[in-house]
Amino acid sequence: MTHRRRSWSERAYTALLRLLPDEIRRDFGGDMRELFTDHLRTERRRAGIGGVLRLWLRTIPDLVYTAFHERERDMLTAISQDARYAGRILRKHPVFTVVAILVVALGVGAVSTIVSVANSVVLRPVPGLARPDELVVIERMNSENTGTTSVSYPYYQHLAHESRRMRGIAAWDVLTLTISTGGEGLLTQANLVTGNYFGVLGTRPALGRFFTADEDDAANPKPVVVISHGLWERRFGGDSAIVGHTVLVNKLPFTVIGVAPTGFSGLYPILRVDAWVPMAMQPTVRRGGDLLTSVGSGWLELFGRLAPGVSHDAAQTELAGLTERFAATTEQSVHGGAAGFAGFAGIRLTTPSALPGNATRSALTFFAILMVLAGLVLAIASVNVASMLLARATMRRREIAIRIALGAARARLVRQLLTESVILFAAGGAGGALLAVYATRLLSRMQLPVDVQLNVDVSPDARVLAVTIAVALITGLVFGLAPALDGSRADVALVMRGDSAGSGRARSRLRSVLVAGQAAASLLLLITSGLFVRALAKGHRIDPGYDVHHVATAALDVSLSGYDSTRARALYAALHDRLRVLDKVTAVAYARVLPLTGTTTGFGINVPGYTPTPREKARGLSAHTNVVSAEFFDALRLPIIAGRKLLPSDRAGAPRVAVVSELFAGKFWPGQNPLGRTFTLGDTNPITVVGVARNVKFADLTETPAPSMYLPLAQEWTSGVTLLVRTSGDPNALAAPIRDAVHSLDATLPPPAVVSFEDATAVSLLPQRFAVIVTATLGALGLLLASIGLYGVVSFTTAQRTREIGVRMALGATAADVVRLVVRGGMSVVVIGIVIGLAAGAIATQILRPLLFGIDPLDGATFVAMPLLLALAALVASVLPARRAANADPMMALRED
Amino acid sequence: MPRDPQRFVPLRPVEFLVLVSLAEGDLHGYGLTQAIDERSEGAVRLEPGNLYKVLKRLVADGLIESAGHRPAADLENERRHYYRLTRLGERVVALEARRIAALVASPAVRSLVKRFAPAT
Repeated sequence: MTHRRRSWSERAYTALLRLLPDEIRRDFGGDMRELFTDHLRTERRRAGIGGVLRLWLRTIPDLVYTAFHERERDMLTAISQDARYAGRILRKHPVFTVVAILVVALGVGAVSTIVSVANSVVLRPVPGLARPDELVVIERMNSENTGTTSVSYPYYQHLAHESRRMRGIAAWDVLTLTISTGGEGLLTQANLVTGNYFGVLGTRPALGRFFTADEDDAANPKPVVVISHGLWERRFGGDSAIVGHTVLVNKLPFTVIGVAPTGFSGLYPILRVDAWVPMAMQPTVRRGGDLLTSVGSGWLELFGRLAPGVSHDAAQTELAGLTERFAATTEQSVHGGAAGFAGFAGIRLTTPSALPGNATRSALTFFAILMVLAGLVLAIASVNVASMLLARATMRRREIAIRIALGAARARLVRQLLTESVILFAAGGAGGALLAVYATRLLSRMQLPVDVQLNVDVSPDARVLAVTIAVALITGLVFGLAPALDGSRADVALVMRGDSAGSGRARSRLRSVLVAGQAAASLLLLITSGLFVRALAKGHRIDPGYDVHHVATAALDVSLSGYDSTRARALYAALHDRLRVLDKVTAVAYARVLPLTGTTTGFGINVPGYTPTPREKARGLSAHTNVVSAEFFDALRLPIIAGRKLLPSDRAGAPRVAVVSELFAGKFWPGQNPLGRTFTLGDTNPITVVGVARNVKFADLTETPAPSMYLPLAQEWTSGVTLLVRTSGDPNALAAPIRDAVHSLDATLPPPAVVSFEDATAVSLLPQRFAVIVTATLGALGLLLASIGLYGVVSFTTAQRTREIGVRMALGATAADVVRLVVRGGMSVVVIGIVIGLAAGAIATQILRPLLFGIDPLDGATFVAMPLLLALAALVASVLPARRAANADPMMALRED
Repeated sequence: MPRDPQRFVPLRPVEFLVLVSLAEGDLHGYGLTQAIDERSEGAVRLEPGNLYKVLKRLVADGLIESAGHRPAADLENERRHYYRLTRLGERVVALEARRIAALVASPAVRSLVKRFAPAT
């Protein structure tokens, strides 16, 4: 054996050989070191330090690879050993295990449910589209550049013909159609689409074919229709003979030429579409006259497919240029001149996502907020489990110490303890996934009071399940690491001596930090849900200006069933008479717009004698407008302050009249009597003000009232109306009588959906209502979990201090002293958490401001009540274990341990 | 314990190179890597971990065995661990050599070599 001085390389190599399993090292370690030395000598001689470095570059991967290769089986054995051991330990403490798994399941379930809803609403890929990354939504910015506007058909044609950087541009519009096969009609949500619509999307029919170019020729329109897979199955029993058959669309014969693929619902799968009709049929199926030649009417949405290799920016530049050119050439010919085209301010290209336009961003923000809240619940739950593990590590001090004394490596112990927590979290994750399946099923059953039909399938898919499992495992590792590191650090000598103070100060400090964090997180949750509850309560207290109770509503449009205006007037009059005589019914009216459903209609007006501001001059004067029948003011109990309401005598041909709002009167005739004054609607026919109505909320509860007016339906006829029936009884009981009345007048009309006005207006509080349900659930969950956590920690520390408490009592401390002592310990930590939670809440809730109906995000009531609620829960959680400790027999306590 | 040499062919190229190198005489680790490096014209370069994985397998199969430690003349007479072929190893390497020779001599391989790797 030669004894020469070893170089650092040799020493490093010797150290690295420890990576190999002992057996290999024993048999070949010496040989390998010798071989390395020989290589080293050669390399050093040949290329100096560079050679040595190159040798290392080869050697390290070689060693690591060899180590992995040799240990592969060991590692698998070790993992399965750890898992078996962990399983045994967990089975031995079933209460601990079940509680821990339940707690994790609640936390993971909350996250998984939110992810699942977000996934299906916003993130899931749209079915039936080819190469979706090439598709772009083309939007024209409005004149203020604050949002986008719909576009006209000539403008669409201009873009579609001139663009070279887009492979194709298609246009579409939503409309309602009545589809029937002879009997009772079915109201369906449909799209009016250009002939290339399916081609640009790259969709293939499930059956039959899509539109051909000549079917979308405005000069020679063909009555053809493509139906959705869903409609085909529901209405036509999935019969493939449907292709080529004739169905009645708005009472007109249309040929079914194809069936769209399963799940296909256009660019926005959440909006249910059941039929597609070629654009050329617009004058026949859609109100508004012939829109195909009108340059001034914006009613279409556009999307397109980028030509190969063209970037968003390049396409946008081209389309903006085309838009300017179009504006320049058509300016003179358009009613309103240049002003009408101020709207061609810019073009925006966006990648299509599951929701139209800006809705995606606000939905994502909303979900992000909910995700953070759900994440907080999971964090609280995980902290609970972490402190349970910590507590157990303390109890297992002796077991761990013995294993260390017997030579167990620390790394091995950490791995063992980590395996336990990962198994707990994995089981909890599975439970969370089950909870999410159940919770999303509940959510899908929630009826949305909106008149658009939505495809809502929020059930978790494989992606959500994968995320759930990953979340559970990662939290298991993260929250298991601290207890595992801590648990494996038992001081053998101390423990063996039986010193129960061996748990150490660091451990109890860690536990306090965890509890404070939980309190802070749960306070944040409580504050959020408190603010939403306050906002919802305020929303309910907002007086819309009329009585929303005891009114049944139903949307009607008989023009979709082939009625012209004369027949429609007669039918609506007959329906009015039939319903008016029903028991308890006190008023029957029609209105073009159902108030408080988010819809605003504005008519442009001219008021003689009024000097518009420059801004009004530029944009034109307008007022919120509703077109209503005579009993409208009775049906909604909308008070008339001066003059009269509209009367049945305000019929077509009679002098034109209007009822205006107080604000309308005050704005245009300040300080004067508005009755008898006149204004016009663009044309020259003067309209005389006959009454003044109270100011009301028009579209939603949060709006600031604007000047509004009511015109008699008979003088501004439209067949698309909402029926309003006031009753002295339950409005929902009117559903059957209303449907019967419609059916008895014309059996082929689709049965109207009857909704109480209260439910219909609930849509204006929908985001708040949803937020309250979700945040209140999360808040309650967070409070419960945090209280359980605090209870656990206080019970545990109290149990650890049994001997100390016994000594105190033996020395004369009363039970009350002991309770105070223990409670003070628990509460001091919670108070720190409350302070942190308040600070975090003050900052974080600012982002909720737009959803709060003007409730201050620093709302005093919430910021006082919620900490009190948390403190109360914490008090209960620490008094219970404190009383138990105080009631213990001091002698027993002293003898313990 | 006579074992059928046929069971071991075909050998992996690295194993064949190790056995062929040992057929010329006992070698220590460094000597083996040198020999293999030359024989494969630099194509096969064995790092310690890799080499001993192969040696471990060959020892376990009974194709080579330890020849003890002795001073290595080429390494300033430091003592090194030598390896040698067993009887079984000799027969296996001969069998494999014959198999490869027959393969190389086959007309198909010869024409391939002529077409794609003409001699320089």
